[in-house]
Amino acid sequence: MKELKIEQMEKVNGGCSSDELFAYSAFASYYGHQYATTGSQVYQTFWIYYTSKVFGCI
Amino acid sequence: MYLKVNNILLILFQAIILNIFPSGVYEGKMHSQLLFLKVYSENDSALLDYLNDKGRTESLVGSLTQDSIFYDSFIRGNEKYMVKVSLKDEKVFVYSFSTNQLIETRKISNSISLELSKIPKLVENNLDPDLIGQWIYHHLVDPNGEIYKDEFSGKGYVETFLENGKWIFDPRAIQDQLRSAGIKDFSYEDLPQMKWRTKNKTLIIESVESTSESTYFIRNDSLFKTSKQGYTTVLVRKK
Repeated sequence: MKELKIEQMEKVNGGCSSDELFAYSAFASYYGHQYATTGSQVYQTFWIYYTSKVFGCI
Repeated sequence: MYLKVNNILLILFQAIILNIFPSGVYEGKMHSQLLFLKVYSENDSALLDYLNDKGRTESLVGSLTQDSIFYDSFIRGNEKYMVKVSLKDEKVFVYSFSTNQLIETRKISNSISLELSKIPKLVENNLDPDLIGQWIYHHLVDPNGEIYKDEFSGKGYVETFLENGKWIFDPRAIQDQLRSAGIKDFSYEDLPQMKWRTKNKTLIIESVESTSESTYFIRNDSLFKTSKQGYTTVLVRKK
């Protein structure tokens, strides 16, 4: 996940760039999977954070 | 000379007794009222804190008799009580003078750092007093007992259990990750509002979006939380 880099800052609806939206979506998907696998409350927090960021973008 | 040796033996005996003293917070119900008691040792004295009718903390000093410590009586809600700590059984008993009844109390916390007057509200809100404070995230263990490689271990991230029921995972973890992805947009206001509560030895962390449950136990300064999936998070109390 750490390889993700924001190169372009093209803004989409909701005030975030398409790259940010892509990164948030990727993180949300990754942490959703990790949370479902481990049940860790830290993964839960990250999953909620990135999911709400995605919804904030669209 | 004889008196001197006797005094030294007495001091040694007291030191041993206070070492095995069952410090903690206890709860007992008598005459339809909950009694919260904190027993602890300080400066070679066995102390008892109780809450008076106004909910304020009062302290008593105990006297050692054989294998028990007895405290002076106190009044609560027009009832007269006396507390006995059995060192042999590591139990705390409350005696009611009006009914001649002796009950065994239940230990609800090993921690004596919290002010006793805060305990009733915590118990009422299902917040285990032992969890309150900051815990450093150490590592995650999978159901086979192997360390699960995650991105949080060894970074000193902190989980905070607040007395008001809020649960916060270290914002630095998200900040670090966003930074590594080249995202500068971070606001504390975006962090999920998480709450915690306990039911028996189950920890429930919830937000509007999601609820998770894990069983937990504390050993010395370590907290072990095991999810329904069988993964155990190990944390160490921040000092």
